[in-house]
Amino acid sequence: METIQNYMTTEHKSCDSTYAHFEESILDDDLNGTKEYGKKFSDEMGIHLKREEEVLFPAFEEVSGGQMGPTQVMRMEHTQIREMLKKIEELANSGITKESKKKLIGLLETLMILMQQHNMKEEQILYPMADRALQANCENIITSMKQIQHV
Amino acid sequence: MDMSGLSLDQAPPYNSVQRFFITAPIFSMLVSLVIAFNGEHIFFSFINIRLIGIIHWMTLGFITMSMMGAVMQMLPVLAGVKIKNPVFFSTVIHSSLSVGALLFGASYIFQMKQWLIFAGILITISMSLFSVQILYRLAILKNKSHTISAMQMSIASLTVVLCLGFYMLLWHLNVIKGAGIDIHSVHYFWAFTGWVGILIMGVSFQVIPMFYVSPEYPQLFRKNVPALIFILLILYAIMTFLPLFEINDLFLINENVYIRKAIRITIYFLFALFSIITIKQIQRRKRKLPDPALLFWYTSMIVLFLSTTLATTAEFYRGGYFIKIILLTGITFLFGFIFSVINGMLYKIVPFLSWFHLASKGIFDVPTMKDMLDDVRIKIQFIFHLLFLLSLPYYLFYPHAGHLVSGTLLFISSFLLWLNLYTVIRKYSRINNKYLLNKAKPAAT
Repeated sequence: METIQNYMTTEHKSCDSTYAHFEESILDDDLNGTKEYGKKFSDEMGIHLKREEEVLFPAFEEVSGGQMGPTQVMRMEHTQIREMLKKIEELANSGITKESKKKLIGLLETLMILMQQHNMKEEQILYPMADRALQANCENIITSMKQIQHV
Repeated sequence: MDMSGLSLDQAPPYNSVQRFFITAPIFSMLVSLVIAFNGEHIFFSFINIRLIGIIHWMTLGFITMSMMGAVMQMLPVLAGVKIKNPVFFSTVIHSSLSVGALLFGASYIFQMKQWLIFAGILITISMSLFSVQILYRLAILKNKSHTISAMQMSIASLTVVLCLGFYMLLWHLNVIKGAGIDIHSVHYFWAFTGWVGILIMGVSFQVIPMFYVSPEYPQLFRKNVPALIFILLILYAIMTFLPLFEINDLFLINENVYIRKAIRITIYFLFALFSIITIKQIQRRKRKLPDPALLFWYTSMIVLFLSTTLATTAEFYRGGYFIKIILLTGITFLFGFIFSVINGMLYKIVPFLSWFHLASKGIFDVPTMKDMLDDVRIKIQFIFHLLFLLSLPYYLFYPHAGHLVSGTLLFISSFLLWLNLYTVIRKYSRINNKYLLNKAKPAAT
C-alpha cells in the first residue's frame, strides 16, 4: 500500500532533481534551459504545495484538531518558498548578467536550504504522523492529491 | 490525536544556538597559540600533559561545543521536538561548557591541578544536562529515522565518555586508585568514533542527499553501520575491563589483545568505507552550484580514509616510529576528519539561520546566504586550513621547526573562521536592530 510519506517524498525528490537542472542552466548561461526548467520547477512545486494545502493539510487538521498545529508552520514556510521562487524567476527571466547571476546563485542556495529543512520536517515528522492519523483514508487522500494537475 | 510537545517551528531562538558556533573557533585559536609558543615537546608521548590539555580544548571547546549547538538546532527539524526554556537551557550548558573546557585545558597546560575538579564538575553539569534532555526527547519519539538512531547512539556514547573521563579525573587527582587497565584508549575511542564519528555519519545520511541532491546512502549501510560501530565499542569496553571481572575463560584472557585489535581494525574499516561512500555520493550529486563547503567535505573524507588506513597499518607495525604514527593517526582524525567537516558545516548553518530568522520576521529583501558571507572568504580560510593539515606530518616529525609553522597556520585558519562567522552574526544584528527600531517607532509616536 502506498503511504503518504512515500508518495510525497518521491514528489520532493522529483522537485529537487528539476531544481538542480534549473540551477545548472543558470550557471551555464543557457537561457532556453533556464526558462524551460524554471517553468517546470515552478509548476511541479506549485502542484505539490497545492496538493498539500488543499487536500493533505485539511484532512490532517480534521483529525488533529485545527489549523494551529504543525500545518500552520508548514503553510507559512510555503509562503516563504513561493516568495523566494518568484524573486528567482523574475531575476532569471529578465536576462542573466554577471551581477544578476551572483545574486541568483545566492538566492538559489538559500532557497535550496530553506526547501530542504522544510522537506526534512515533513518527511521526518508530518508525513509519518499523517499516515498514522489518517490510516485507512490514506489511499483516498493520495488519489485526491493526484487529481490536482494544475497550479 | 496527541501532538503535545510537537513543534515544527524553527526553534530555538537565534542567540541560544549561535553562541555555540561563535565560541568554538576561540578554542582552536587557543590550541594554535600553545602549539606555536610551546609546541616542541607536545607530540612525544600519549600522556604528555600539554597534549591532554590541547586535545581537550579541541574536543570539548571546539567539537562538543559546535556539536551541541548543531544538535539543538536540528532537533526541531529532524524530530519535531522543542527544548523547553531554550534560552535558559542553552545559557547553562554553554557557559558551563565554555568555562569548564577552558579550565580543564588550562589546568593541564599550565599545570594548575587545583582547578581540575571545578573544570570536571562544570563539564559534567553541561554534558549531563544536554545528554539527559536530548536522550529523553529522542526516546519518546514514535518515528525514528536512521539519523535519529545515530544521534541517540552518539549521545549515549557521550555519556560513556563523560563517565570514563570523570573517573580518570578523580584518578589523576589521587582521589581514587587506578584500575590498572587501559581506560584511556576506551575513553578516546568512544569519544572520537562514538560521540563524534557516529554523529557525523548520521548527519551525513541526511544532509548529503538532501542538500546536494545525490542518491541516498545504501540502505544496508545506513541501517547497520552506526549500530555495528556502537556494538563494537561496547565489546571493546568489555574486553578492556575484562581483567576487573575475574573471568577465568582462558580464551578471552589469552586472546584479549587480538580481539581488541580486531575490533579496532573493523571500526577503522567501517569509517574508511564511510569516507569512500561519502565521496562517491558527493561526486554523484545533481547540483552543480559552486559550494566552498564541499572543499571541507572532500578534505575531511580524504583525510579520514588516510587516517584510518594509517591506523590499520600501525596495528601491524612495531618499529621506531610507532608512537609518532599513532599520534599522527589521532591528530589527522581530529583535525583532518572532524575539524574539517564541522568547519564546512558551520558555513551552512550560521548564514542560513541568520537569513531564516530575519526572513521569518517578514523583513523585506534579506541578504541571501552568499550575501551574508562571500564564497571568496570561505575559500581563503580553507587554504589556510589545508596548509595547516599538510604541515601536520612535518610538525610531528620535526617539531622544533614545525611547531611555529603549524601553530601559525592553525591560528590564521581559526581566526578567519571566527571572523567569517562573526561577520554573518554582525550583519544579522544590524538588520535585526534596524527592524526592531522601525517596529518600535509607530508605538512611540
